[in-house]
Amino acid sequence: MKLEIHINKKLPDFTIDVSVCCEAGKMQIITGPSGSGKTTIMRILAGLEKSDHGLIHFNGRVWEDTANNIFVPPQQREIGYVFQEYSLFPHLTVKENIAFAAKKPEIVEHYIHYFGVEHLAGRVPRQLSGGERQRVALAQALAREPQALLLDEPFSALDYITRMKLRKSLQGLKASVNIPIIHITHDIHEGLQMADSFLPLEKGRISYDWLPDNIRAELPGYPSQICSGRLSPVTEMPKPAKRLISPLSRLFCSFRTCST
Amino acid sequence: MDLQPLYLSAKLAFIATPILMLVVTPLAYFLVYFRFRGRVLLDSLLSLPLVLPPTVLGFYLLFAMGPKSPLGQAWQALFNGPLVFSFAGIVCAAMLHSLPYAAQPLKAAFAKIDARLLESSYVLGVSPVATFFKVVLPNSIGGLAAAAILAFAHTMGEFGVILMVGGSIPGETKVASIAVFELVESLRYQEAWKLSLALLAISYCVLLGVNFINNRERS
Repeated sequence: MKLEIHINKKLPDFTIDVSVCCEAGKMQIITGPSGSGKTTIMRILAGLEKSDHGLIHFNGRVWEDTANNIFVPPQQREIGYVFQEYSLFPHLTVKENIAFAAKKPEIVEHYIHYFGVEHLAGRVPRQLSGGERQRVALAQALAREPQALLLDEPFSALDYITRMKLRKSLQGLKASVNIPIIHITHDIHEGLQMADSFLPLEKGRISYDWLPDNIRAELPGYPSQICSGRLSPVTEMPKPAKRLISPLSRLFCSFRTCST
Repeated sequence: MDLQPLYLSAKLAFIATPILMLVVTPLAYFLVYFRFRGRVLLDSLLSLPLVLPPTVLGFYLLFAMGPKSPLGQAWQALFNGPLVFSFAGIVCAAMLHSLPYAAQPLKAAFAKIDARLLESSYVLGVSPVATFFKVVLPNSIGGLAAAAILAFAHTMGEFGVILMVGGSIPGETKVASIAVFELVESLRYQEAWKLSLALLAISYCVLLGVNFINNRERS
């Protein structure tokens, strides 16, 4: 099960041009300063926005192929998406929120227990703290048994202790759900701790220049991957992808680093 | 006091309001959430009854629903009777005239819903139609109630459009507001007072209801 993404989208200040891929049971971290295009990438991946030129493959299925005018709407992508800010349904209780798109009732119970929200089951979102809401949001996203999980800075508004706890829950989940997880964070340390693959982004492109020296020093020894391949040494910066998705770049993963 | 006009007004409001809500709710949703060419034109057209004199609207409707119009002829063929100067005719006219009064609070309620909730529903695999029923409507209860109450109250007090389209046929189209007008014309002030007081009480209760809902929403 592999998610492969090649996106090109023109934004007012810069153009997003990235290729990413993530395999089942792995966590691809995308990090970068605010306004570097992280959330737009995630929204394109979820089908909430379209790319200008793009190809998104999931497990052999095409989600978006601008060249052939293919676009699968978000409802049909079978993803779990946890937003940066809370997006629980305010008129539903915690249990109803988790069950909103669940296929099986036992899954709902499983995630209620896994995230320790049994005591909150009858409450509505406005009665929850920030950490509790994000736990419920994670449970909601997973209860629909997604084929891929997208996390858009879900811990950014939480305190340190809560973030640590949620990070631990997520690490534990990674192996058990065995799906590709793409996690956006602007916290580089958080990213490094959780990543199987690490993608630093600046103005829509892969760039290591903006990373602090001490972080860059950590990277070569770190088992990071770009597109499931080994991370290139810092001195060998990844070449910027062409603006238009060429047939060659569509096979980016296969030719470049996906052969692990 | 003859209660028949009051009964007829209430009957008109109870029939026109639910039908209007069924029509106006998806229409308001469509106007708020879908961007299409001519949206502003359509929105302005639907809001026309807010500013158009009721007699002018009634005049146009009289011709649009008259026996020579396609609509009037179709109605005649289907129900073997005219659409104008009938109860069904004033239901149609009242609905059209009350449409913007119901649409405005609904549009405001839909626009207030956080777009992230809709996106959240879509990525959870729920279709836009199911999202409308499972997310949009439950989070617009206040707007729906305010729209229904306003439409009901507006229909209860309808005068110009009803008079033009329905005339004043006792037991058929002579609603309370027309009865008050006729009572005053014939100098029967005491009966006019009583009927007016009844309409005043109903209108006040309705506004009280709307304000109660608004306050509850705010808190």
